[in-house]
Amino acid sequence: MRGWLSPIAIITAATAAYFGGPFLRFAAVYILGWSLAVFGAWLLLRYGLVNFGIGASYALGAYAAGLIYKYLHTADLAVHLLAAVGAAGAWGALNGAVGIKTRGIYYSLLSLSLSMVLYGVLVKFYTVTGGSDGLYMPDPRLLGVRIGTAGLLALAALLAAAWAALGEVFGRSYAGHVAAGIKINELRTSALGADVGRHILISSVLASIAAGLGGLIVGYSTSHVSPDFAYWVTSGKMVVGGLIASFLPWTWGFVASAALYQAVELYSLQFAYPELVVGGLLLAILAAWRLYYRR
Amino acid sequence: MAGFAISFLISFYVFFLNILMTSLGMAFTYGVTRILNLAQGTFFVLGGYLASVFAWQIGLAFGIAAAAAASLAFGPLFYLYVKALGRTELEQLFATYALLLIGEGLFKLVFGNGNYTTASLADGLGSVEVLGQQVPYSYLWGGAVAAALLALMYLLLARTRAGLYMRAVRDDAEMASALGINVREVGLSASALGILITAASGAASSMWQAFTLGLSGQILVYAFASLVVGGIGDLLGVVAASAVISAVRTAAVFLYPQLELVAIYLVVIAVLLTRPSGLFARHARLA
Repeated sequence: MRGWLSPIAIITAATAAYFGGPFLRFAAVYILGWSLAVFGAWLLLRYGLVNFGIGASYALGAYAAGLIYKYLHTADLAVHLLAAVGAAGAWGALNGAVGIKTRGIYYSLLSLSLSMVLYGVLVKFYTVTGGSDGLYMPDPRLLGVRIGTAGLLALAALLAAAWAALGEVFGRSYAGHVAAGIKINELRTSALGADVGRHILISSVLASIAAGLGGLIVGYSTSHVSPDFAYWVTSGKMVVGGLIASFLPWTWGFVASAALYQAVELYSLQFAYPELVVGGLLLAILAAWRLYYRR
Repeated sequence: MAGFAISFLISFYVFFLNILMTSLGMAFTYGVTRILNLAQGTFFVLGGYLASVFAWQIGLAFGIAAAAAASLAFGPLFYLYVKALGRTELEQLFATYALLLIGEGLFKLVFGNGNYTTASLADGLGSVEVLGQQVPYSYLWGGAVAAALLALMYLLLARTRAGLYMRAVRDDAEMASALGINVREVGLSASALGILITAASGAASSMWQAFTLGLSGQILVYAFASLVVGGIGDLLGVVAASAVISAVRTAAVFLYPQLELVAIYLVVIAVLLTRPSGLFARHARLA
């Protein structure tokens, strides 16, 4: 029962952030958006799949909206959401369909290569995609009205809460048990009657949609999307976020780990050598995990 | 036409050398230790930085040699670091990713934001004219370094007892251990060698490559590409794969430059889907 408190906790936290001033509002939108991409990485990790190309879905969600604004001149939120879900879902289906043939590091390298193909297209076909400058992301409108920061925060919180609820359902469902089975022993799970390929395909699509929606939110919050969204380092951060989330026992772990990672990254920027701070923290997390695990 | 062919060949050779040098050490390390090292590019960049600093003090050749020698200590440290922190593949990825970030931070701390290269010293080596095109000697020396490293690795693996142990550990670490091989020691020496090779390649590459922040990550994805195509851990496969990737990429640059990056990864995807254990694998590895 306690798991169902997750969506409520997320919405409560977002509400609190709303009253915390403009900076917290912005940070909350960013973190909630980014956490959806972490959810995608986390979901695939449940199957033992390390997706180093989840950033491609993240980029597609934002680019879908940016391109629609650039060419069709509409900032309608519903259109953008549909486009983001469609683009990211199709990408997830592609990733799942080709990923079914590979496992382990081959899967990681395949997903990385797929995302680098998208990255290459985004960077090099600059007349269409804006190249390395990226694209402008408009303020989204719902029924012609700008939703503003408050609306964006509400949207981010609702989406994160919805995915937390989905995570809760997933954890209890047949699919969740199959995921654990695939991670431990794929052959045996398959022999017990589960259609491994179908499970991986569907979870790829879901993970990709989550990441795509996340990219859309983050793009809105910064009014900008660039090919860096699809670069493998971006995906790497999300995988790290997903790993931290999988160390955490709660359904809202993906939001907690996204908040942790982004907070540390933000904090690190006040130093001249931010990478040292983030790297050192990751090391500390890993060391703590190893100590806990040994017991 | 001859001019076009020769400039194509030179471009091909230069990128071939680049990608080969980034992936040689990684293929070696992964082959024996099974550690997929996200920080391998960091050691390549370290070699380049050190060579650029040393070369101005003690000359080009000595500078490159000194940079390689200085990085020898990092191999065992790296192995111990990863083995202490990561038992599973996921934990190892996490640990080496943290190392990649820490490396970037340290480079910024020590070397700052500048470009580091020995290109201006390498220019002093002069160039040779091939069918009307100037080919700098630095590339030929780079090729010689790569060939020497390959020959050394081959001799080590195929002709010595230590190499025999490494091949045994590569094929089946558990079985090797049961037969009395100290897998830990073999892993230590293999990662030391792999990192030495990587750093030496980076040092030699400084003759044409400018080293700067953010390069570690860029290098890494090229190395991944060549590893996948050649079959992970297969040395000759990596050489052939570098040639294939360079040929495709150079053709893309000459015919349709927008596809430069995309072409490389399309090759990788095609190989992963058709021959997941690499184009040149003699026997497919299970799981």
